[in-house]
Amino acid sequence: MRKTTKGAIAVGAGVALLLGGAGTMAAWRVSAGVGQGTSVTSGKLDVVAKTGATGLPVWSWTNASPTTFDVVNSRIVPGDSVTRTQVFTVTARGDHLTFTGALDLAPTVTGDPTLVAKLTSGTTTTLSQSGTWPTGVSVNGAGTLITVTSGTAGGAADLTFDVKVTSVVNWVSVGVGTDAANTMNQTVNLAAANLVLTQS
Amino acid sequence: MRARLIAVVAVGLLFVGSSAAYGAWSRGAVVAAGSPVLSGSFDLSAPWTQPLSLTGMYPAQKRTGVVQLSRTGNGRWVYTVGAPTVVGGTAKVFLGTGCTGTALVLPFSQTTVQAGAATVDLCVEVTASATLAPGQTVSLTLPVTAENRSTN
Repeated sequence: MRKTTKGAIAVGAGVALLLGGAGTMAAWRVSAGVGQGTSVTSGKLDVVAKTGATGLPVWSWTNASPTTFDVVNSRIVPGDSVTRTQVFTVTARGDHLTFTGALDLAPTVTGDPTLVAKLTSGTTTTLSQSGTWPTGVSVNGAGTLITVTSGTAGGAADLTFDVKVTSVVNWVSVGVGTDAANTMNQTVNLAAANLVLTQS
Repeated sequence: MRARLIAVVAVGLLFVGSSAAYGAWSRGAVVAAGSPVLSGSFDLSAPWTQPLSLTGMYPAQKRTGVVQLSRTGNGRWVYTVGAPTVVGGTAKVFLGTGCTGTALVLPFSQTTVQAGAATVDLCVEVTASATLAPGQTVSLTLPVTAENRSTN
């Protein structure tokens, strides 16, 4: 009995040692290196005037004409319609990038007030497709908003497409003698605007 | 144990975080104004290319002249020849340089749009009254108007 008791006490002491003070204890600890892995690259979103002549604003007669509109020598008269076009290139990259494109304002006619009054109501500006557009790029019916859906700009290469901005200026003549002589030999301009792409 | 639990909770909060604001890309390009656009002008030129002299006419005498219409300025055009006012006689107007064929019914409106550089000849024949008195003058006023049309 004594030996057993001693053993029991010894075990008890051992247990007491294990349960012992609450301040310190041993614990397993392992570690492994977290590798750097490959780098992560951000995408892009940009719009610039297209390289070449179409990237410049160009005036032309809206209706078929045997002559080319010449900004120096051509003159508009009541009933005429002229068109200004400029093409822009959009570049985008991003697996989940979604964005829209629109003009920040509608270009208006400025200059001689009597002629401006005749041209303002007949001035419109729209956005449209230029060249080939990939699936996922669209423009609304009004020609005011371009939409690029998620995934369209993903993949191994940049998404690139062209957008045409077209402004039509109509001199609406409502009847004989309604255009006064003071609308002759005047100068007008079509104001600038910004084509803005916004991530959504 | 306590210290480790606190760290895990804190990291969780950072990722869940605020959903009200986030950055978004925006890029723009200028749609340029381009060159200015100029308006033109419009006027009618109507000189006598063959002068019509009504001086010293005798009763029932006929005299003719040709007036050539053209527009100055820009754009296409149409024209109207109004009814003439003749003192001491009557007048007829013919298309072309010879006062032959069928005279125009005045007022006459040419609705076919004339090209910008087009010219129109009108032959005018004035016949003095059969009762024209000596020394009585014969005069003619022929109104012609032109209207512009679009360039194209």
